[in-house]
Amino acid sequence: MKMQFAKHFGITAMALVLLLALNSGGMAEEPQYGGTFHWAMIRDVGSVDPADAHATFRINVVNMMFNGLVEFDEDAEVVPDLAHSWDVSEDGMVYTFHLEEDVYFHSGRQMTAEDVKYSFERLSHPDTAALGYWLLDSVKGKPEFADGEADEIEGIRVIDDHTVEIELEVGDGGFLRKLGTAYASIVCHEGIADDMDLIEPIGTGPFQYVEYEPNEHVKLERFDNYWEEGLPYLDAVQIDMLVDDSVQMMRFQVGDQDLMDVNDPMIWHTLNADPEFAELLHQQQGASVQVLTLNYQKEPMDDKRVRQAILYGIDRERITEDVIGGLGEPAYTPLPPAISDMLDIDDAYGYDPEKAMELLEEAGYEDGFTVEAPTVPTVWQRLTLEGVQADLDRIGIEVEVQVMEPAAYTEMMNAGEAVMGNMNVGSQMADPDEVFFEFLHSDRTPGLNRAAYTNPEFDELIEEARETVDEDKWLELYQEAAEIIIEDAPWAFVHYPYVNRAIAEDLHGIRQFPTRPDLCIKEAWFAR
Amino acid sequence: MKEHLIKRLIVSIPTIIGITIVAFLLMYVLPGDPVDILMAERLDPDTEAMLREEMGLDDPLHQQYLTFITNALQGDFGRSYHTRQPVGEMLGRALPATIQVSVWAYLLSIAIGIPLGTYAAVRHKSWADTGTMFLALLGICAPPFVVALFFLYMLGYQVQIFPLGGYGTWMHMVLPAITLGVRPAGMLARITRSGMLEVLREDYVRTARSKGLGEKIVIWRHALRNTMIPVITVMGTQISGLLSGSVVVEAVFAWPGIGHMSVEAIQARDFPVVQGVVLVSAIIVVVINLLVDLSYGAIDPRVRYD
Repeated sequence: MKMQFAKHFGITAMALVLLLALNSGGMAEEPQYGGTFHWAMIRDVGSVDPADAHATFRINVVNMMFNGLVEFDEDAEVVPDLAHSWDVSEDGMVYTFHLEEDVYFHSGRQMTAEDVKYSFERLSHPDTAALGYWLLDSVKGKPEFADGEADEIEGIRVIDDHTVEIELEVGDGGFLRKLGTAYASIVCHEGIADDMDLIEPIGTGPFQYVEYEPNEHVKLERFDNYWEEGLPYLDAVQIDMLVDDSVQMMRFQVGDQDLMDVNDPMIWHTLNADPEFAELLHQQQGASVQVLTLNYQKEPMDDKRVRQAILYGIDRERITEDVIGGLGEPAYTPLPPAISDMLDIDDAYGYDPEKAMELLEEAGYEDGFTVEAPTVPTVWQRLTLEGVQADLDRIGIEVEVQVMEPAAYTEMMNAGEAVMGNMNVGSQMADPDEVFFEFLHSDRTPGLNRAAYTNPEFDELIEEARETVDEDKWLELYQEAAEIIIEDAPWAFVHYPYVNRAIAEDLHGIRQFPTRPDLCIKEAWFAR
Repeated sequence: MKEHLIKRLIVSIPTIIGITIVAFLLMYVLPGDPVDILMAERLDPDTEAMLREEMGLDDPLHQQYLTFITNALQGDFGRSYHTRQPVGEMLGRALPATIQVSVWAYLLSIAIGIPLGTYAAVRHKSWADTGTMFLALLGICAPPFVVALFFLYMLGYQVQIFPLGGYGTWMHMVLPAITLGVRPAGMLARITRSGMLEVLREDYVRTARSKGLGEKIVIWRHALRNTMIPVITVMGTQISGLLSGSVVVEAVFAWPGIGHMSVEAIQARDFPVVQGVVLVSAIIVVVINLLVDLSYGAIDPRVRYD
C-alpha cells in the first residue's frame, strides 16, 4: 500500500514538475511587438471626447488614447497614472499631485501641470456641455467658474511644471476615484477649439488617433513616444462599429476579430460547445448589479414584508445558471461587486420560498397578486425578468413582463410609475456614492431613484458620507447605509452580470477591471 | 410639360414641410427624454439643466421647429445630441452609403426581375414558369435579415469569399446589394409576368407575329415596352422601399447608411438627426415620384401632361 502510494505520489510529483516546467517556459515567453488589434462593437462609439465618456463602450476607446492622474487596478483600487504620487492635507481638503516628468502628448509637446488645469477647466466649462460636467463639483471655485463669474477654477493651482494642487470646497471622500474616470483624462489644448469642441483627440495614451469614421470604425496607431517604457506592444488598433453579435461571432471564428464582447447567452453557449473556442472564453467580475426596483410608494410594494418576500422568493442560483446561462453570478447584496467587497456586507435574503409565503400572508397577500414589470429588450435583461417571473409565480405573485422600447422604458421608470421594474445599477469608479446617492437618495425622485425610495435617516447618512474625508468613517457610514437598504429592501438584487469575452488564443496581456474602463490593451501582444 | 413640372414642384413643398412637422411632433409625443437617455446612469440636476439649455430643449416647441426649419433651409441641420457632430456631415457620409447599396440592389433587381418575369410569361403554364414564380415568391417572402444572415454565413463564413460585413471596397458591397435586391427582383418578376401575359393576348402582338416578325422582336420590342407602365410604377415605389429596407441590411452588414443611423437616432431620441434624415428622405421620395411620373410620358406616347 505504502509502495503504491509512493509510486503514485512519485508520478504525480513528476507530472507536476513537468507541468511547472512547461508553464514557466510559457511564462518566460517575451512579449512581441507588432500586430493590429481588431475589435468590434455592436453600436457606434459616438464620440471620442473624454469629457463625454460616460459608458463602458466609449470609455474603453477613450482610455486607449488618454491617461488621467490616477487609474484603477484589477481590485478597483486607485493607483498612480500620470501622477506618480500625491499628498493629501490633514483635513483632507487639499490634494497635491506630483506628475511624471517625461510625458508627451501625441502632438509631441511635453505634458505639464498647466495641461491638468486646462483639462479640468474644460470639463467644467458649460460650453463643453460635457456629460462629466458634475465631476469636479466639490472643487473650490468650480461653481463660480461654471457660472462665468471667474476665469479659472480657484481651487486648481499649478505649483510648478510637474506639481498641481487641488483644493476642495466641501469634503469629498470619493474625490480620488473621480479622478480615475475617463472624464478626468488629460487633454491637449491644441486638439480643442476655442468653443471647447474637440477637434482631434490628442492625449498622452499608448495609442494615438488616426481616424474615426462614425458608424464605420475607429483607427489608432502605436504612440512611439509613450511615457511608460517599452509600451505598448501592438502597432495598431481597429475597432469596427455597428457589428451585430452573430456577425462578430463569425468574425472571431474565422480570425478576423481578436476580442469579442459576448452579451447573448446563446452566442456564449455556441462558442462554449466548440472545443476550439471554449477555452478562449473569459469571464470577469463586472461593474454592475442587476436589480428589480420595488416601488416604495405604490401598493403592494409599499409594504416592507412584500418587498422582503420577493427577495426571499428569488432563486438566484437557478436564474444565473439556467436562465442567463452562467453569464453572471448570484447577487446577495444591493451593490456592484467592487463596492460590496469594499464594505463588509453579509449575504442577504437566501432563497426561502416558505418564508416568502409567510411574509406575504402576514402582509395580507396570502392569495398573491399580479404586478406588471417593464424591461428593455436586451437579451439577458429580459431573461433575468423571465427567470424572476417563474420564481415569483411559485409564491403566488404573477409578474406580467412588459418588454418596452428602451427610451419609453427609461421615461416610465424615471417617472417612478413602475410598481416593479428591471434595472442594471452600474458603477464607473467603485464609489458607493454612485449607487447610494444617484439611485436611492430621495432627491433623485423622479429620476434614477426608480424605487421612489424615501428614508430620511438614509438620506442623512449618505449626505454625511459623501462629504466625509476620513476613510474609516467614510466606509463606516456607507456600511450603515448598506444595512438600511438591505433591511428596507427597495431593490430585489438578482445577479452580478459578468463581463464575458472571447479572446483570441494568440492575444496575451489583456487586462480587465471591475470598473470602467473594463479593458486595457496597453500591455497586450500577439504571439504570432 | 414645363408647366406640369413647375406645378408638381410647387405642390411638393407643402408635402415636404408637412412631413417634417409630423415627424417633429411625433418625436416630441413619443415617450423618452433625450437628455435622460444621454446621461444614462448619472442624472445630476445641474448637468441636466446645462445640457437642456445647450441643446435648446427649453425653448417652446414651435420655436424649436422654426429654428430647425430656418437653419435647414440654410443647409444647417444642427448637431447630434449624442455625437455632437453636425447632422449635415453625418448625412453627407451616410447618404452616399445607402444610395450606393440601393442603386446596386436596384440595378440587380431590374437585371434579374424583368428577364425572369418575361421568361415566365413566354413559358406560361410550364415547369419553367412555376419554378421561376416560386423563386420570385421566395424572394418576396423571405425576411431580409434571414436572407442577409444566410448569405453572410454561406459566402462570408463558410466559403469565405466575401468579407463579414463592413464598408469600403466593392467586395463589401456584393452581399448587401444582393440581399437588398432579392425582394424587388421577385416583385418585378411577378409584375412583369402578369403584364406580359396580358399584352401577349393583344391584337397588335398577334398582328406582329402574323406579319412574320421573329419571336424575340415581338417579345422584347413590342410586348415588353407595353408592359412597362405598371412595371415602372412598381419600380418607382420600390426605390422608397429600398431606402427603408436598407435598415435591416445595414444592421446585419455593418453598413454605415442612413437606415442604421435613423434607428439609432430614434432610439436615442436624437431629434436633430431624426429631423435631418426625415427631411432628406422626404425630398428623395418626392423627387423620385416626380421622375417616375415623367418617365411615363417617355415610355408611352399616349401619356401627355398638357
